[in-house]
Amino acid sequence: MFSHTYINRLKIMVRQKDTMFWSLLFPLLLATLFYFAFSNLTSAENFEIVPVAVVDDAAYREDALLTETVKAVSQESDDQLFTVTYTDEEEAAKLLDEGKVDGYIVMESGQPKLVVKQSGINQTIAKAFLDEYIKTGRSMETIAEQNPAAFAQGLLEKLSERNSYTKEVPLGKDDSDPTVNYFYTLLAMTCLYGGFLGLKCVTDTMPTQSPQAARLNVAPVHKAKAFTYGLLAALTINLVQTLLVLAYVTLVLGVSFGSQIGFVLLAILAGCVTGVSFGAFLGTVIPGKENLKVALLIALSLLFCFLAGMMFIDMKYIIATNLPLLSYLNPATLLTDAFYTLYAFDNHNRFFLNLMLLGGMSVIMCTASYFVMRRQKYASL
Amino acid sequence: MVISVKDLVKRYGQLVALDHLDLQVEKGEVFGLLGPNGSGKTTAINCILSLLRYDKGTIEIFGKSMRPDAYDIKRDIGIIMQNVAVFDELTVYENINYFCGLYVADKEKRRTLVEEAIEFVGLGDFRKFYPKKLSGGLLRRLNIACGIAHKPKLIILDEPTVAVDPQSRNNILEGILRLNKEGATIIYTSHYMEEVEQICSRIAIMDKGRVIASGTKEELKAMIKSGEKINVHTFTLGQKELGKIRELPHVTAVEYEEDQLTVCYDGGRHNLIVLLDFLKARDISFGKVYAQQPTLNDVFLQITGKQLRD
Repeated sequence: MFSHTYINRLKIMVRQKDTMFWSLLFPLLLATLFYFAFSNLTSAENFEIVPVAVVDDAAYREDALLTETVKAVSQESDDQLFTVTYTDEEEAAKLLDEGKVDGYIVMESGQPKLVVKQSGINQTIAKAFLDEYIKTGRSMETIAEQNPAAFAQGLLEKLSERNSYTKEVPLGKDDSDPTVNYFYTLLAMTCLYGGFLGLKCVTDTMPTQSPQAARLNVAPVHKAKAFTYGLLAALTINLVQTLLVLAYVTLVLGVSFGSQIGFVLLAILAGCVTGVSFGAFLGTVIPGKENLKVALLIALSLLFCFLAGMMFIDMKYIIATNLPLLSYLNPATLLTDAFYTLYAFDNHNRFFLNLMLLGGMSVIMCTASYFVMRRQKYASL
Repeated sequence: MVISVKDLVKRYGQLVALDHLDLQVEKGEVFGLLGPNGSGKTTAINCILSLLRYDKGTIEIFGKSMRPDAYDIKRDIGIIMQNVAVFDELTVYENINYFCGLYVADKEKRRTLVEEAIEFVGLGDFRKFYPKKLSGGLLRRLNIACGIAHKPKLIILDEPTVAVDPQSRNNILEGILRLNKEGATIIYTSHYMEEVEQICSRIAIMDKGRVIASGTKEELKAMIKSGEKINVHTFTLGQKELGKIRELPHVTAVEYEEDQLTVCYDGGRHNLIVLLDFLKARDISFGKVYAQQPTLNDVFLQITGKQLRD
């Protein structure tokens, strides 16, 4: 009985085109959209090596310190600052005009000068480099004039030393990228869209809702068992769909879900159980036709995801600050937060709190669905 | 007794859908439940199947009380719904296999039963078709196959021919009679009196949630005063001859309008011969002659004062 119902329920649900669109294709499309939308956003924060030209004339070659410094920061390494083209001034100006370099350095009255055509991040970096060089150079000149002995005491090394008095401490095992939250809400939405499958199970089980269910109810089959087998099939499909979306988001789009894959899968399982239970709950508790329930399911899922920061990342924090209870009642927020804690924190306390809340919700919704279904007297069909 | 329904009452708020309904269905019968739309046929069936809660009464099937969890009873029932109850996502074969599997766990046995059902309804060429690709008639046949594949002892058909073309309708009706010959007891609900007359061995006529008459079609027709009606096309009838016709045995009424003689009877077995002999004996020439037997609609009309299809 189990395998018969389970396999046929799988076939029925997998072949439902509209359900498959919403629960699989739509999240994949949205993930692609997010990827293209946010890739520009993150690229602004990524450091790129700045292309500059240096007017390689006699004045430049005379300034040994500058020559060595430019050479040092343009060497291929993790800390490389510039790619340098050595040329004459005319060619440097031409390169700048053609946009092949962001600026060029030329010696003028014994001082290096940066020539740029426009302002931007790269130009600012080049300017900051040159300013720092000039400032340090002047300091050294002054010391050399007033206390040359200081150089013998290791002042030169100290001047070139840079101390940072703040330390960057990662909260988790990975570097933080705020845009990942969008993808986490997307995965939460995919889990919640398992509600379509849960809803379909109810429609095909309650005789008030479809002739197929009426036929099932006149068969010698325990209704609660048939319903449970159907929900298990729904959960299987939702799980596979969400894993496909996860694979697409991580392997194709390169979004990080942290390195704790076991816990990510556990969160996905909890999310899928919540999603399927949510659909079953709506299907049994809300009176009316299936179309109405589908519309309600879409609307509520999107609202949950909106409040979890899917369309506006700060929404999650606004809700957490102003309506904290709502954060604990919103399954999309709980799931998004579970993914985020895995990504950003080492501690699992918050992760398990989120999962426990999701589990509690699922238990409540499933129990309510069962009792509503069992107590339904079928006053009219 | 296959089904025994006693004193069944079902209310929808103020509306009494079943009003102290009594029904008995014997083993091997094709039992017709005839009535206009809204007379309570489908409600009665849903109550019998425990799909619908009822307010009062008892329902027994195969001598046992029917309940939602009476799986031993349900195992021997097949239902063909008024609305087609199949899954659009499963093929013809898969649909029949799925519903049959709710009754028969053994795969090998089920495979045979499914093939027999497909053969029975003539869907052999369509086994891999999805329901949306089937015509209305073929879809109804699939609906029937899903209800009978497990070879039930009691088959309930609730208006199975609604919106079906004449060819498919005949196919369905012939199939029902074959199922009956193979041993199944049939309950057939319809508002098409011709169908009920054609296949049912016993008929209950329902109106306003009650059985207003039941019996064989002959018994039902015998309940009403109006009997056979004979029409004769003739040109030369005078008042004298009309008076004589009124005196013939079992004649209840005579009309003569526009060369059309209509004679109504309340019984008798050879009325047509007697009337034609009368006309011949008086050299009264006549053309087209036809006789109409009373219909179940006449029975319904006489008992309720309204047409079956009102």
